[in-house]
Amino acid sequence: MPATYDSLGTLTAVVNGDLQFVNIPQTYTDLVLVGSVKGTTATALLGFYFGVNGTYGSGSNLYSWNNLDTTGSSVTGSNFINQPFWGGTFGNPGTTAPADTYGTLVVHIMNYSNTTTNKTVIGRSSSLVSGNLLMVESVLLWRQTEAINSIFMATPAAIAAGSIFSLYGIKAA
Amino acid sequence: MANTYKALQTITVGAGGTASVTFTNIPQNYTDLVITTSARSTLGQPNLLVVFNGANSTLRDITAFAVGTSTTGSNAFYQGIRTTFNDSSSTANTFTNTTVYITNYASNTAVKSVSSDSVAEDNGTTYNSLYMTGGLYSSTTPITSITLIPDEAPNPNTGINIAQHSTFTLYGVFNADVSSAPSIPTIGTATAGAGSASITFTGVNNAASYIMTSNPGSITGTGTTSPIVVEGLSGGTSYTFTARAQNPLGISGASAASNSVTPTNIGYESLATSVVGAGGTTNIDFGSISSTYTHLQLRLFVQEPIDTVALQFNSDTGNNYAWHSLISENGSTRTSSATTSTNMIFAATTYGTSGSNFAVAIIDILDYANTNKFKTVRSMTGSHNNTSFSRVGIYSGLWQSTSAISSIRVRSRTSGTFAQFSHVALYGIRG
Repeated sequence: MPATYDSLGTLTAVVNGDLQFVNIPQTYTDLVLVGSVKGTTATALLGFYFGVNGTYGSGSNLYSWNNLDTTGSSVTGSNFINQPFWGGTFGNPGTTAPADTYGTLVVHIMNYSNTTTNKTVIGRSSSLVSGNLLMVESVLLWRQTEAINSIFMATPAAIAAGSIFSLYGIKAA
Repeated sequence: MANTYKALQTITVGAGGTASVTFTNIPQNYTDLVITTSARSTLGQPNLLVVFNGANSTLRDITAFAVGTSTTGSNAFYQGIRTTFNDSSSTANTFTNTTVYITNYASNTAVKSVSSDSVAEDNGTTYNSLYMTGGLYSSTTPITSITLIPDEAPNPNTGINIAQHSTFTLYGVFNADVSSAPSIPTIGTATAGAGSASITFTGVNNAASYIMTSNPGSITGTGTTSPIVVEGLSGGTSYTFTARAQNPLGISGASAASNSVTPTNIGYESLATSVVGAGGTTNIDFGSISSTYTHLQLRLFVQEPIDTVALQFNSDTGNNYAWHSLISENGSTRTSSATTSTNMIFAATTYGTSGSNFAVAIIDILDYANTNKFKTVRSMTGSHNNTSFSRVGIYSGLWQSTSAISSIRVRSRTSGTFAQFSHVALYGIRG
């Protein structure tokens, strides 16, 4: 029987590129994805993209999301439907940020293993780069009832080496 | 009694002499240490110092000594415990005879007392010395190294050498019969903890320490007295334990297995889950909430036709609540709301949920059992149905009561019903 809050694995980007958790056990109730993220593009505060079960960018357009975000001077939002992945949702520093600057990301994938409902996700990110600040809360939807067994993660160009992702499983009683 | 008194290390000084000798990596499983020296100095120097762990600032000795026909004493803080030395002025080929006894050297709670008897003899009347020294190493750190070094106060060892053929032997003394491996201890009772278990046992006479081993997992804990705590266990898994005794000679066989125990989780524990069945439900209730945690967390995956999920605590339906919100609706509008002196806390949005689309919320109730505080609630929540009907935002709430929360009602803000497959889980978090 799994513990209530289990570590399922950690990925560290050792080269610039994409990352993926695969073969996610189906014995938990929720997943929590925690990231310390940086992108490779020479721009500050880019998006973080992800998708599940191999459908990232597949053209199935089953993803949508709604943001509440702030740069410290104003509160803004955006809404996207029928997208090929969860994208532009969370900020992360690009290479204009100092080398040791990574954004923080916590994403809750709720009821991920059920085969009855679509999958709703909620998450928060904070990215602080000198002169730039982005904090985002986002609700996301994947319109499939299948259980989630893999998570693919990317950024506009690539995830920078040194970025770390940890995946946890939460088991309800 | 074989192995009660055991030679651990021997150092013999070679040609040319040496500035000092050091016993290193001293095993920690004996009771006392004994050093015997037969040493001589290459120059004129009456003292050979015994220094522990490389430090020489926390030593004090009291020495009664006779040199020739005169007697005197000394009581001083010194760079080491003083023993005598045959020096270059003494008859050739004469070496000291010294024994240093160090009790309880491996203790990490007591300072170390030292006793030394040391004589230098040269068949003459002008040079011979007898030292009776009591010393104190004022440190609770276990002794892991011992250096013997000629003394030249105030600056030790400026070219004084220990002569060739000087010998030094370190012994470990064990205060029990270790002519055999220890007997098997008797297992007692296991008691579960958070990610751990505490197991009692009855020890045996010739054991230096004990090892407790779990089944499954072979996770161990060690100690010298009962009980022994084994940590690193998985909450929700049943374990039994066996005990073994060990001494310098070996490890005993395993005892019989203890009673089975199931540790709780450390930190984050699932308390209850409600899954809504066919026909839906109006309220989702959690009762008899234990006060043994530090925080509570509700995780919601719900569908409800109105737009908002609310909380009430301890059956309080009075106007003892307040809440605020910051919501982004449809990506186009941002609103903040505030309500005071109301009869529930708004805590999650279910705006637009229908069909296979459910809303989510992570609701944290910190310090819920504290009877000195009102209770503050924080929620991160959102709903999306792949249209323009979606909301995401943050709620804060306040219940103006210092009572510990013992029950929670999760409900619609008005007359809504939670749809089938809605899922609410309650977790306890330990601080």
